[in-house]
Amino acid sequence: MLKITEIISNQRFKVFRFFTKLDYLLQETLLGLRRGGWMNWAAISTVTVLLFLFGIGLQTSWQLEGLLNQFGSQLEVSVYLETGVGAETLKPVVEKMPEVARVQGITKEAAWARLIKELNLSDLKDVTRQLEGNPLVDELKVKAKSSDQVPVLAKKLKSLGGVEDVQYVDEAVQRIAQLNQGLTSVSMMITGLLTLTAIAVINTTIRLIVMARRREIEVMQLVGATSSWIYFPFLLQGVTFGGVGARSRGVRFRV
Amino acid sequence: MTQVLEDRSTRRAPQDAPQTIIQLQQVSKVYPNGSQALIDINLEVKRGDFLFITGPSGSGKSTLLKLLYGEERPSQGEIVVDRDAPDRLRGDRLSHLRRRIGIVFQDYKLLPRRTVTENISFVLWAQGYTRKEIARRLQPALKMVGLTHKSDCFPEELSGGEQQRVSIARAIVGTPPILLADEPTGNLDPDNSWQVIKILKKLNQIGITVIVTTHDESLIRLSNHPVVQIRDGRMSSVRY
Repeated sequence: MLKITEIISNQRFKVFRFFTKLDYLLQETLLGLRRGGWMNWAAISTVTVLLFLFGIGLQTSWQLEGLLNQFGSQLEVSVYLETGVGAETLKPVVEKMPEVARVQGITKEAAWARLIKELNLSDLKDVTRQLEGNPLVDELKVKAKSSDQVPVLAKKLKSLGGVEDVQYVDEAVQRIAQLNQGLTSVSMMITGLLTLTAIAVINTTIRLIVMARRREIEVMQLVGATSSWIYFPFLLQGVTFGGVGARSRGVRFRV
Repeated sequence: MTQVLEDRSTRRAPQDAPQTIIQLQQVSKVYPNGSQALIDINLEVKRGDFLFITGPSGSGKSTLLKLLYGEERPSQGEIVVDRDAPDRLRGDRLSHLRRRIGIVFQDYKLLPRRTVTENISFVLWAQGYTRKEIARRLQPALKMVGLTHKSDCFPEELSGGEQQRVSIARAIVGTPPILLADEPTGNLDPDNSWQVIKILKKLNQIGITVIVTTHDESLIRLSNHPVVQIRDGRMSSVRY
């Protein structure tokens, strides 16, 4: 009986302690924001502008990426084999080439089945009989390690015995893709730089606020406040800056 | 206050608690710039003692107190404060030791834009006390230093003596077993100084161990507590 009461009171103590922490955190954070004055606005508007630039950077890189995707993968080479040559027989040879990252063999039966399905024909056997056999050939989907190796690889594949034809995304498209890739990496770099700047600015602002309240912090340290207890309100203040900055960026620029 | 303090002292100091609350053994302190602040200090303070540390300015009195609350670390020697070694504690454990030590400074260190009540309850907030507990402790602390009627004043509206009394209330509101006062009367006239000493004596009578540094000889002559002197970093006993 005694134990149960003990446990309950213990539990209540823990809940109580949690609310005390919450109470303290809210009060200190609000007090800090109220006292911060113009420094709050400096921080919030900086975050707003930085988020705006950040957003532009991100959007540009997304758009470029979308454009890139329209051209499909430039790394893939389709190898069509001569009639009667199985994909499995050529696959090990191709896999040994240094430029090759991955090889996927597609048997003519599988390709045929897919085609039939895509054409919405129900009876596979019936159609096959009508055409006097499967008209397709085996195919290898070869993935190159990098796009500039693709032409060389294609030439090499074509010279292999048993290969009927080789197809890959043509060079002009590839050049555009390369340009896009370059632009993407540039915009990624800008985005990264802006992120670093945003972090530095918020950090500096918080530091300023800490400096302005260093007497309080000194007293807190001397009376035995733990460092997390001291710095959590500042952290929350920073989160508030970020949040309000993000909201006002949305309001100002999303229109 | 007495009631609140007695709660704590029965909890903090059971029968088998060691009589010695502060002990320094062959403690030396050399600052990084090479100045020798303390040389081979040995000191033992018993629970419930009242000790004066005297000596000219710059003799190492403040350094000694800083070693006790872990602001500075000794270059050599052993320090024990309430069964802990402040020089070996870091982070939260040092914070928890500091909760058992009240500190009063010559320059009060009150927060200028907070009222007397806020300055005192701030300490309890910082230590994680609940609102209810803060309200319970505030009045006795204010009464102890005789400032109940000034509870809503800001520090600049108070005299130096009153400000120092606020800082004493702040130091004891968490009911620490040890109170360190670094030149508490340094900025005060004789009347106010004596009032501060009287409050410290009263706190000592309810069981708090008090250590006061001062260079004011007249204060020492007016009371009958033990006195040690620090001169050029060396300690000598003046009166037991």
